[in-house]
Amino acid sequence: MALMSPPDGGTAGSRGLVRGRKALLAAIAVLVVGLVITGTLAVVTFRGHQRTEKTLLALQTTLIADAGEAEDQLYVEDHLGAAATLAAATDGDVATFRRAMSTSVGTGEPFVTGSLWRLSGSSLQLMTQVGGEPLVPVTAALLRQAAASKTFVVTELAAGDALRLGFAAAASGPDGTFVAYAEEALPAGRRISEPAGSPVAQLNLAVYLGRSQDSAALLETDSSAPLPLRGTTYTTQIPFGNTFLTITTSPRSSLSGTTGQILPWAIVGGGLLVTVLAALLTERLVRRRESAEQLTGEISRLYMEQRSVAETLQHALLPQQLPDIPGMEIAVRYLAGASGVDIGGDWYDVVQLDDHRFVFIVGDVSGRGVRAAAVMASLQFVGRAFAQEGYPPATILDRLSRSVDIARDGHFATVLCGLADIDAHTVVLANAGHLPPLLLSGDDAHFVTVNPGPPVGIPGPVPLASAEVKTAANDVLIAYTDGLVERRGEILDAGLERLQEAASKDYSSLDDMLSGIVTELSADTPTDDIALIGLKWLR
Amino acid sequence: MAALDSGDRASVTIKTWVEDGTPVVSLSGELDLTNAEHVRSVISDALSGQTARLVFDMSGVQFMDSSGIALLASAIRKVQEVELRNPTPIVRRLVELTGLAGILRITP
Repeated sequence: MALMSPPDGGTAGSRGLVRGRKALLAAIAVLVVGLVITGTLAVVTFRGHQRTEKTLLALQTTLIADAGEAEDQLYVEDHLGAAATLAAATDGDVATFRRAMSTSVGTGEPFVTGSLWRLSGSSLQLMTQVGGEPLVPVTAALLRQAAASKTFVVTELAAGDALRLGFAAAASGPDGTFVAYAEEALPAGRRISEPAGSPVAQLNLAVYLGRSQDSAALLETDSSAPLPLRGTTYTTQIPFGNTFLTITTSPRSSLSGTTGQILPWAIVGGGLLVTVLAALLTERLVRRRESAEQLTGEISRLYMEQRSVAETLQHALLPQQLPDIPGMEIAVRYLAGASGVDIGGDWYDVVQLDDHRFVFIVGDVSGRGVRAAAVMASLQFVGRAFAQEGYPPATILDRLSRSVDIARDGHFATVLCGLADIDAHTVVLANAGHLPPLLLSGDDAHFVTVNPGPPVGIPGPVPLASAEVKTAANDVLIAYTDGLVERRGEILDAGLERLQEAASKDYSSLDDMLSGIVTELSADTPTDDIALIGLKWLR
Repeated sequence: MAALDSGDRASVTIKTWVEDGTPVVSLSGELDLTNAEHVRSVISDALSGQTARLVFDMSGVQFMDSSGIALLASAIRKVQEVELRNPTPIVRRLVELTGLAGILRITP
């Protein structure tokens, strides 16, 4: 049975695939967004940290330059410059020069050697010398350069492993120009080491003479890293005599503390974790929602299937083909009401007895559902059987009344039964609680009210009455169930009047008439079933 | 005892009491397919004991369709006599059309 067959495997499989892919795509989307956010945050934090490092480095380097290297400039000016000025003022008094240099030349003092030169015209004359010997002989060019310079001149001297800086400062007096010369030893291998507490201790430091960072120009460094310094560096240049000192630094460790350094990595780690969790959660939620959607679809599909099975059953119970009775035109309609899956118990039947007699039955079992349909089926079979035996309508209804009991079955039925004799132009009608049939005769349309007995299934003391109606050619009798005329909130007579009006219009055929009546009377969404039978006498 | 419906159901008020040993069910408002089952369950709860007679007071019924007939029909089968008291024209018409007039005691 269709109801039992499993859902189509292929469709279900591809649906599952699509579902999985949708969930995966959602998860990937979340993953991508999460990664982008994490990456951006990490980069921003890292950049921020780098900026902070650079600012701190610049600050510290400037401090170092100001405090340390600028001090050298002052020192040379204060001592060597002052000695030259004294010499110029005292006409090259040697004793004065020696006294002036005594605090800056010697062991433990900055200068290794010092000397005073007189420059007059083209002649150079060494006046005196203090401390040790110059590393290389003092050149006239240097001294003349000093005499021409507004500030002291600096030169780098090398002999073997020994390295020195030579300074020459000149001053002119009334008796000529005097040049004071001194040498400062550079640290061995140009290496210095800063004490641990020094602010320089956490920096790599390289000092060059001049504006370049050539290794040849390096004066001193405390860096164990290869030069020139790489990574985060800061370079500043300060005037030094006739040249410059270039100071380059790089941090040995994070200057702003470890937090700033760790933060980008913490963001990367945390962000990745949150992203992966969010992606997993999204995947699960999407999957769950989709399976809920699928379940809803499945339920509605089953519901529709059940509804369709019920309707199929209903239609199967009704006569598939009406007998072709000479002298008669017969048309029927059946409309299922929209009341969920429950089918109604409306039915109609036409049973031919011989060439000029037939029985018609229209019935409506109370309530809905499969049980109501079952009662309808049994009433239909019983009615058909007794009709074929040639019983009159009142007897047929009485027999029907024995096959259903409201106390036992929970259902009763209103039934209209008629026996038509075409030759005799008569219809004998009996009515068990059913709505009266409409007879259209010429311009007249009226309901044939047969004194009704109680519906079948409700025992009544009164034997059923029957009435005989005369028929003529072109007469039409319409029997129907209450779904056609009943409308919520409206009295029954209004529906009956509507039927009367609709049936009285002009129609090209009986079939047309039934279509017209149904269109006119059925609500947009009829709740109850409608069964309708039309009989037209052709003679 | 009273029950009042709202929303999608038609609005019906059910009152039950006992009069000289006979249960009386008073219905007022509208009685149709949307609330017939509810009314039926309320009535069967009220009719817990055995009784030979049952009275329906229909004076307040403004509208009734075939669902109401089903209600009366099942009552008829359960007790010996069902009295329909003060049926409004709508109720009376429906009872006559469905052939229940002959097996109900209609007062007045």
